[in-house]
Amino acid sequence: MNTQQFLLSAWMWNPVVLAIAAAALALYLIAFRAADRIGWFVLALLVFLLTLVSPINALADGYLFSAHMLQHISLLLIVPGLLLVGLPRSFSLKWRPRILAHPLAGWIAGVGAMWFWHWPTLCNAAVTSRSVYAVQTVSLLILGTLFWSQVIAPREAERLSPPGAVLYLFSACVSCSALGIILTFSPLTVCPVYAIPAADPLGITNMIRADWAITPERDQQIGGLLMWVPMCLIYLGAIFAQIARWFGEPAPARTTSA
Amino acid sequence: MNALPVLDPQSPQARAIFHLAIVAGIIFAVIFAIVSGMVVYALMRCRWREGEGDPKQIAGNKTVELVWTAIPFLIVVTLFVLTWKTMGAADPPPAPEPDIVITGHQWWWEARYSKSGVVTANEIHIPAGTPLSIRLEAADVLHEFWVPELSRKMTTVPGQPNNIWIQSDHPATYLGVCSEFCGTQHAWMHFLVVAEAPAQFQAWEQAQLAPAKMPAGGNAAQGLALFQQTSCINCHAIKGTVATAGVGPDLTHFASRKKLGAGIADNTPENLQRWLADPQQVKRGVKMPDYKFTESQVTQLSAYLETLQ
Amino acid sequence: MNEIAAVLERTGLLSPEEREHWKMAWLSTVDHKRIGILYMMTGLVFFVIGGIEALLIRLQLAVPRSTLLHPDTYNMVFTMHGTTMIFLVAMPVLFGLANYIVPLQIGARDMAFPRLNAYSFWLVPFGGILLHFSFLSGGAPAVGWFAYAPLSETPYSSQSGVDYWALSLLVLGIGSVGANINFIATVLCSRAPQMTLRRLPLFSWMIFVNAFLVILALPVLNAGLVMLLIDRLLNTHFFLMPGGSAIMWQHIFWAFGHPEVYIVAIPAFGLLSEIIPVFSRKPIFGYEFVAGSTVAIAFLSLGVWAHHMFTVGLGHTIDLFFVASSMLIAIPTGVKVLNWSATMIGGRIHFDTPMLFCIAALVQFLLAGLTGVSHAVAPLDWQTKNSYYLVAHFHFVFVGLIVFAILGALHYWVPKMSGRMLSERLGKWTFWLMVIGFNMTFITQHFLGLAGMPRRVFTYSDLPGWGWMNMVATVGTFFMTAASLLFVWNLIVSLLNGRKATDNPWNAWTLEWATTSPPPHENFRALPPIQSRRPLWDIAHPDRPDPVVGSRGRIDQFKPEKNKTSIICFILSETGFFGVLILAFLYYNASPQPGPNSHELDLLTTGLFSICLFASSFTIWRAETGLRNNQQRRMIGWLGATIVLGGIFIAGQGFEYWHLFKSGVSVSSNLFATTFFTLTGFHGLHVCVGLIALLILLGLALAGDSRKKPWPALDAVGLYWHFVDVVWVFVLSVVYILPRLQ
Repeated sequence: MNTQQFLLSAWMWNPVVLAIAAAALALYLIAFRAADRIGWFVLALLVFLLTLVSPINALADGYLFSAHMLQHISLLLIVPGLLLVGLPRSFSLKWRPRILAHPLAGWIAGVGAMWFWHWPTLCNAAVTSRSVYAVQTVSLLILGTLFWSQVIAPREAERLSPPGAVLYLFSACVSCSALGIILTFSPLTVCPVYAIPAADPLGITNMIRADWAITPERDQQIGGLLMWVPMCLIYLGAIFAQIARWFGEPAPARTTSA
Repeated sequence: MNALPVLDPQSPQARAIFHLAIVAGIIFAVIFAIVSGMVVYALMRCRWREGEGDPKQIAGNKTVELVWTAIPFLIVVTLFVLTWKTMGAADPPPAPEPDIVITGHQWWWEARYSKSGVVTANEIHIPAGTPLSIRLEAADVLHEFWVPELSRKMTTVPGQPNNIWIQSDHPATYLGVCSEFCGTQHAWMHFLVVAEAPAQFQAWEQAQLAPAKMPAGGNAAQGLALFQQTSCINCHAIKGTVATAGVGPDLTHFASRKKLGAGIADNTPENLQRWLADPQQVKRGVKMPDYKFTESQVTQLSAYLETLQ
Repeated sequence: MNEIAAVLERTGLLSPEEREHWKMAWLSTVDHKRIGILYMMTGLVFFVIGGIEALLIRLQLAVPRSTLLHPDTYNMVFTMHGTTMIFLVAMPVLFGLANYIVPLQIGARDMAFPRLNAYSFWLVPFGGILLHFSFLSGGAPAVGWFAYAPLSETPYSSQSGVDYWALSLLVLGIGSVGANINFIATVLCSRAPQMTLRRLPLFSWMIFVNAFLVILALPVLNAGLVMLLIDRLLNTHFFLMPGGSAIMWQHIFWAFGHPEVYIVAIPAFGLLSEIIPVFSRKPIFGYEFVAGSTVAIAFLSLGVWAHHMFTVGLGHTIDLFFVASSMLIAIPTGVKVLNWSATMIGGRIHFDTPMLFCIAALVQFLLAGLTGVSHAVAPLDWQTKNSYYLVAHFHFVFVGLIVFAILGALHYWVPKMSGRMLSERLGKWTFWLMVIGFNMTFITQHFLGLAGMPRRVFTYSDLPGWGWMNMVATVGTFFMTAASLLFVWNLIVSLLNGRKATDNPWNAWTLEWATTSPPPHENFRALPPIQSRRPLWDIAHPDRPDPVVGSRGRIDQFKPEKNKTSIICFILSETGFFGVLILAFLYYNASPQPGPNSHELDLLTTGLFSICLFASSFTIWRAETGLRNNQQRRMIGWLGATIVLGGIFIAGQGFEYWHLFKSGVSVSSNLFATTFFTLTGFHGLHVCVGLIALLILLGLALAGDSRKKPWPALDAVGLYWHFVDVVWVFVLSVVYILPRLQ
């Protein structure tokens, strides 16, 4: 199979994924009608679908650790982030249990999801077992939402203050970078199942190794680097948004007294 | 020798880098012209003149800011794509087996030709027009192999072999240097890359493979005896004699080389005698100690070494 | 010597009652203004030393095959030149400027911790002397300012020069962290009530952001230096074959070293952002973007270090990602340059000396930035790295930007510091000599690099073009020397009989110009109202004041308690240190080492005394609660329990060490042992420091000190103690538990 054939054929229209996306959209429409932020919400669903039905998913399914990392980043950071941005500004997260509303909980959710699912045993299990994979996908979405809700909760009052959010995002970035660094430079295989593919149901191993020149070592390096650099850029983008939010706060009128 | 060798590529690998340098150079020049143009405009047109008050207080403009953030971003993306492409062309993946293994020592270069088994130092002969896969190793500290006209530079790292390709389009001699600081004599860790027509290269290889000729008699024969009796053989090798050590340069075909002491002097009998009399006077700090040879010993040794064609 | 006292008194730098003991008054000072000046004077002294070294370098290189200096001497000279200029000139002078200016700009009386400030300062001369002491002990280091292993290891540098180098950098690093924790605490906790964070002048803002970079980056270097010293003094192999990795040193060094470039560049950006608007008579163009881009630069600078390593063979995959991140940092930097240029456009530019230096710095930095991008383009770096092109690039940053910005800033602020104007005529001479000399020396070096001349060579053969280009470069340094001498002369003349400076000689707009020149001991008699970023503009132009900058955001009034703030910053900094040690442990133990390994360790015993340590977090929390509820005896009891539990932990660790030594395992046995003892040893050291702090607290509490309310010391030490416990969670998992799971 060559690259073009692969990119055209490796779409897996998983009915569960499609159903979830449709249900989410329906719920949104029922709850908020076509609110002005619906575009973001739809974008979130599109990224969600792209992550789980496109060839990225096929590659992540036992072929490429780096593709798995793309999925991971998308489900943990991009989709939940866009979902939250897509909610109407009036939507309150007051109903969160108090413990989950604490910034530390959000931070641990975001950073912990990264470290937890890259424990070799779990990383392997998520590839070999469909049910573990499903748990992983759902948990990433939930933990990602918890993480972002500290920074981009729809209501201004439920967010961290901008400098606090900068610190929150920065420290999260450093912690994920540390893992990225370990993955990039580790002489060990973090997720052995990708290094020694047991079966090749799609017949694409040759394409990956020869046409794309991705060896297992390089694959893990790319995965680590994806977690390290582009992921940091997502955090950086969010930090920028926080700075813009801070400097953009409306100014009061001039007071005459000193 | 070219005046600006970095901008004078003689191989496809170096040319790929050169072409990128031209494109990047143009981009940089345009940016420099525009921004310094802004400054010059301000300096010419916005001077304060005696008696003038303060100008209109403009605190910024969001659109302008977004534009001049977006444009550099596009430039960066362009440069990134060009970089990506050039990296592959300038530094292709190594061959499974290197053609030459080059080892950096304090302060000289050892070259071992994997296929023929030739061992030499500081003067690397290559056949013109053929790309060669080079493996770079380090015997002690970090060094860096750099022949600007032929290829990228690459550090030699103890315990981590690195690989590059070199090639010369046509026969010529190129100067190479060590470009990573490596101690006292880092400055004199030059080498020559001699690209020859394939036939000439093969002849050179054959000549290098031959063991050293035994001198018939006279000073040279006494020199050989001296060489084998003293501590010379603790460091140097000369094929065909008892000397087989690999600490210092292999001297089997010493006299065929153009330079002495990794580029510090031309390989002439006078310079060689100065070296033997006290290497520390010629190349201070070099690992070869001063053996305090007598004048006649120096003459004998140099007579012998001069026979090693 | 009394003349000096008289001059100081006349200019207002000494109060009449201090006249008799004027030396002590200055040396024992805790006043931020005097410490600032001491920092700058120390920087000046080392600038002379580093400058002489630069001259020696250029004299040696003036002609081919020169024999002026012995190669080893030359190598020492360039190593000391680099180290001195970065750690003993650029950093002290910039921190000195910040020390003087930041509290004034934000309307504070002093730094948050005046005595910590004095301590941080005194570490600079101490570190400097330690470094130079190496000359007396067999020779200065001759390994370059980044001391690449294995050249810096004992087999290749057996004399103690490198030891002094590493020790002195450790001392200086600790001093820098102290100084910058102080900057953070000062800006957050000591600023005037109306000086909200959004109203900060850009210089103060950038020092504030930069301080975070310092406290995060310096500990990485400190960890590397500690590892290098352990290698050298205890015969281990962190960076040495067999087993060790020379590349690891480069990662650690540049993970510090690249942020370091920005640590000295960001304050310089701040200087330009202050001075250019004043002399253009316009506010800075796009304050928010200049301020925001600083954060971006600081953030990105932590993740671009491997562009210093494009030629060591990391592989194209890793190279490419660093190409991307390194190129991205050019964007916020470019935004700054464009904003400065736009500030000038439409202004009414006054060409006073400070402005001249800033304009030159701007244009020179533009070139430095572009050649910098050319190093981010990996294939170009493969050619120009380690050549004179690189030397030219970073001197354009360090001299072209930073030294020029500092000279501009000194011409701008010295009148405030001494109360005397500098001579404009001498200032302009200084400027032109400097610009001509600098560009002669360093523009030429770009071409020397393209001609193939590698850096750090003590001599060269007479290749086409090399001779005359080197000669031009050498001649340029004499112009720069003349400029420097002229500047010092200008300072002296102005101090002796310069024109008196008014409070606000440049009609500037920030708070330091709202007080006398020099300012009184307490800085301000009364603060003007602050409602925008240019309070003095608002006063001067009541008809067209600046728009009000917000003050009611949650963060605007954010003023945390300073002890807690500083201990949190300290913890942040320590995290970097332990982070490196933990990553090093993981890296070196990724594949099992021959010889002792983790299975040798007794998990059960360690688990038991670990529980004691974790329990002590609970007890100290109880002690804090006791203090809050005013139950002195209970508080003292829990404090005592914490000390006992901590003591048990240390005893347990001692027992473990003793056990290992008995079975023949020492720090140099293999890399497992090396990393194990380094990591647990430094943790143990921190526990001991915590115990000492707790004992002091206990003593104070028993003496009744804790009855004074508030008693923030317990909270601060408590935080530190929790941190030490958290570190142990990681150490325990990585060292003891993780290897058993595999």
